[in-house]
Formats: sequence, structure tokens, C-alpha cells
Amino acid sequence: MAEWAIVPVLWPLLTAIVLIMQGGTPGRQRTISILSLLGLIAFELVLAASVTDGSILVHRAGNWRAPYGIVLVIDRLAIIMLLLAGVTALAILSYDAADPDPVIERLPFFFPLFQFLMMGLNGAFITGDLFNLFVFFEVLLISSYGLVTLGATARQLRAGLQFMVLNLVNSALFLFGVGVLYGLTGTLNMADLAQKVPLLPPSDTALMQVAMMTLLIVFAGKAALLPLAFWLPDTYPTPPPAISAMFGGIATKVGVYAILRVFTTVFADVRAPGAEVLMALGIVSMLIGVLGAVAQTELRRLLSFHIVSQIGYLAFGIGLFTISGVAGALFYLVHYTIVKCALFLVSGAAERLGGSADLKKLGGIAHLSPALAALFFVAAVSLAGLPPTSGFFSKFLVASAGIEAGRYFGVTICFVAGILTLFSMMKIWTMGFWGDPPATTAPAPPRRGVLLATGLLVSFSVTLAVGAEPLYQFTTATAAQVLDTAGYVEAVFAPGGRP
Amino acid sequence: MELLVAVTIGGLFAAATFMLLRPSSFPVVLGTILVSHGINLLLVAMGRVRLGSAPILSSTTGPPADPLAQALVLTAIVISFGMTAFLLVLAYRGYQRAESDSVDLEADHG
Repeated sequence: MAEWAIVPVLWPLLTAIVLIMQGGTPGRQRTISILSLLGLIAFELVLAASVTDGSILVHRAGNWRAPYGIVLVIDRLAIIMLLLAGVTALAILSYDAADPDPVIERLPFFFPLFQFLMMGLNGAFITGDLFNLFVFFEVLLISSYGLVTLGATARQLRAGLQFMVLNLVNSALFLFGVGVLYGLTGTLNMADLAQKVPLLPPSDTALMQVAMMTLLIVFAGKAALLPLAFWLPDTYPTPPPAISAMFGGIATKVGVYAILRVFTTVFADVRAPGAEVLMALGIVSMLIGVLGAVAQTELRRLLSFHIVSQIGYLAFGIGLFTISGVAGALFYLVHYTIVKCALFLVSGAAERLGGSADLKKLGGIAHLSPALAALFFVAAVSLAGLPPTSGFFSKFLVASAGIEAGRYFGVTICFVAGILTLFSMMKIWTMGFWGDPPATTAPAPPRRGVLLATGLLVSFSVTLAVGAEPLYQFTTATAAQVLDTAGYVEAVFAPGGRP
Repeated sequence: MELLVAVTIGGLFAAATFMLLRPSSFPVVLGTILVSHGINLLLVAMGRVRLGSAPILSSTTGPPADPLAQALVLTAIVISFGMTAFLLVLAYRGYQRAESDSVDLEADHG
């Protein structure tokens, strides 16, 4: 099975090439994209079946033995991320199929770009090499530059320019961290680094810590943790809703994933100062992000501020670096990716229906389309963390892990941020969904397919609540595997391959 | 030699930081170019600074240079070249659309 581990990278690449070569109408491109995605998800399920028992699939590119060649590693964490990316992408493409966005209809190269984005995401999730991670980040970023500016309105071009300059500087810092680590250890393989970093002489420790903090800053910037998050609310709401949903749902999670992976392999033995900083950033993001959201009146901009706040919860849980903390954060990640994506899609449909993105001009969506309002209600309640939704369980797990570790201040902020989240969701509800519809709109209720695509995501969230126990067991097993650095190193250096 | 390389990298970063903080977009683009030059030099330096050594194992040319660091730089150069081209187009289109070279988002509405 291990030799097939490269498929999640190659599959979207081949699909993108086919899409570019055959051109054709947006409809045909969309059909090919969706079929290809279904195939990919089916294949990932097969891969999942062979890693759930705790085994780690290691693909050696060119059959070169680590650390000489690049390895691709699929473990439980990687498969969770791969499947999440696949499901989110499928929901977004079906949403777009049901209600084609005019911008995407006009510019059908959205579809190849989307596949390249998937390739970058999948590659980042499975690579076992630090420089390779940089390359997949670039693949992901280059396609997102294209997607963010799709349509090229003046506002998009400005926001795209800021997004791009910020990410170019971020990538430069990434290279700086990678370069310093390479200069110190002479290797870039994460498992090899995990062995060599603890053996560095004391004279090199300071330089190693500089590299660690630089990489933390880079990943925190990608994940939009607070001092580095101000690009996000400007960038994410500007493109069409389908693209916002993809970014808001999964793209920021790559940063969170990278923090978790790098701090449990490369810096596993020396991560204490980094973990403290990560937790502090998480606590600040939770609170300030949600305060920013409360002040907004533009629908998707409000949701974008929530991303910052939710990422804070993930950073707090991961920063604990205990099994319960990481397991809680992973549960949170699954729940929140799906719910956030659903909320972006619902608000896209609501903007279409109400004819405006501004909450002050919206109103009466519940009257115009009760089904859409119901979907929003469930997703919003889940995001705010009220029982019996999946949001309740994820907040509960992160908070109880925090109490277990004696981090009472962080846990208090968790609850405060939760209440403020509820408040801002109520704001959307009362301003956008209740009341009378504005007289100017010509109501055309959303098509059934739109409701179906968002309903798929919302029902996932409900299933997570009902099936919280099995998922929690799986994330606990995942956390145990991720925190077991020796097991990862052993799997990567297992005999086989050319020397 | 080490000092010269270090001062050059530091100078590039200092200039880049100044350029990146400018309010209009063209200097910012130049700033990103300077950043990537600084990083590329740093990566080469991380493969150890040696004069006149080639990345080839040979008995006559002395100790070899580290080929991996050079490969990394090559990748980084290709990426930053492409990105610079795209960034210039983006900045120019933004200038055409908004009729201002400002980086600031709010400047368009004011």
C-alpha cells in the first residue's frame, strides 16, 4: 500500500492537466472536477483503512532511502487532513454546480487552479521533508493567489497584492528557518532532524531556537494567529463565496497542521518555549478574533474574523502537547473545518438571496427561505458551541484538556470567547434572518442543490455530535501516534529502498 | 569572506524591510525581490562559504561545495522569479483599476 501514498498528490495534478488540455465549457470542467474528486476521496478511504490500525505508510520517492531521498508519510493525522480537504472540496464544487457563480462561469480556469490548490494541500499534509513542505506551501499559495484575485475587481487586486506580499515575506522566513536548520544539521528530512536536533552542541542551541521560533512565526502567519492575522479578514471575503469557503474551511488549517507536525518531529525534544508562545498566541487570538467579529456588519467578513478566533482554540489545544490536548484540538479541527465551510456557503446563498453582503441591508432570509435559515441556525449554534452540537463537544474537550494541564486562564478565555461567538451569531440571525425582507429584492429561493451541498456539511456536523465517542477515540489514537516521535522516526527509517 | 557575506545579507534585509514598508506598491515589489535575494545568499552561505570549490567530488579541486544548498537556492530562485512577475502584473492591474499606486485597501474608497 505504501507505494500508493503519492497518489493524493499526483491525482489532482493529473486532473488539473486534463482540465487545462481539454478546455471546454465550465459545465464539462465541473463534471470532470467532481468525478475526479469522488475518485480521490474513494482512494483516500482505502488508504484510511490501512492506517487506522496505527501503521504508518512511507513512500520513498525514487526508492531512495531516507534521509537521502524525499519521503511521503501517511499516518492517522495525515489521513484526517486528506479526507477533510476532500470532503470540503466536494461540498464546495457541488455548491457551485448547483448555483454557478457568474465569475466562475466567466473564468473557467477556476477549476484547474482549484485542483492545484488540492495538490498543494495534499502534498503539505503527507510530506516528510521540510523543504518539500515549503515547495507544497508554494504550490498551494500560487494557486490561491490566482483564486483570490479571480474576477480582478479593484478591491480584490488590492487585497490580493497585500496577501501575496505578506506570503512572499512569510515564505522567505520559512526558507530562512529551513536554511539555518540545514546549516546546523546537514539534513532536511523531518525524522532525521528529530534525531539530530537534540544532539546539537550547546553552542548551536541559540541558533536552533531562532530557527524554531522563525518557523513558528511562519506557520502562525499561514494559520492566521493573532499578531499575524490582519491580512485574513481583508482577503477571504473578496473572492466568490465558493472560494471563500475553501480558504476559510481548509487553507488556514495547513498552518495548524504544520505546527503540529514540525513540533512533534523536528523540535519534539526542545519545543517547550515554542509551546508557551503558541499557547499565548492562541489565547490572544481567541479573544481578539471574536471581538473583531462582533464589530463587523459584513457577513463573510464577520465569519473571517471568527476564523482567527477558532484557530486560537486549535493553537491552545495543540500548545498543551498532551494527548488529551492534541486529541481535543484535532476533534475541534474536524468539526470546525466542516462548520466553517458550511457557514461560508450559507452566507454566500444568503447574499445571493438578499442581494447584499451587508447585514444592515439584509433581512427576512428566514421568511424567504426557511430551509436555508434552518441550515444556518444549526451551523451557527454548532460554531458557538451549544449542546448538543459537535461544537459543544469540541470546546468541551479542549477546555477539559486545559483544566487537566492546569491552564485555568486559557480555559476562562475559551468560555468568554464562546459566549461572544454566540453573541455575534445572534447578531447575524437577528439582522439577516429575522425581520422583513427589504422591499427591493426579487426573491428567488436558493436551488435545491445549494441546500443539498450545505446540508451535507451540516449533517456531517450533526453526525459528529451523535458519533462524538468514536471520533474522539480516533483523534485520541491519532494524538498518541503524533506525539510518539520515536515511532515516526522508526517508520521513516524502516529498512528498504536504495542506500 | 564570511564578514563580507554576512554584511551583504544584512544589508539586503535592511533595504528590503525599508522598501516593504513603503506606502505605494512598486517599492514594495522591489522589497520582495531584495528579500528573496537576501534569503538566496543566506541559503548558499548555509552550505558553508568556500572560495573556488565546485559541487563535484574530485581529487584535484579540493573539498567540494555542498550541492544540496545550491539545489535549494535554484528552487527558491525559480519560485521567486515567477512570483515577482505575477506580483508586478497584479500591482499594475491594481494601478490601472484604482488609478492609485497605494497598497492600502481603504485608500480606494476615500
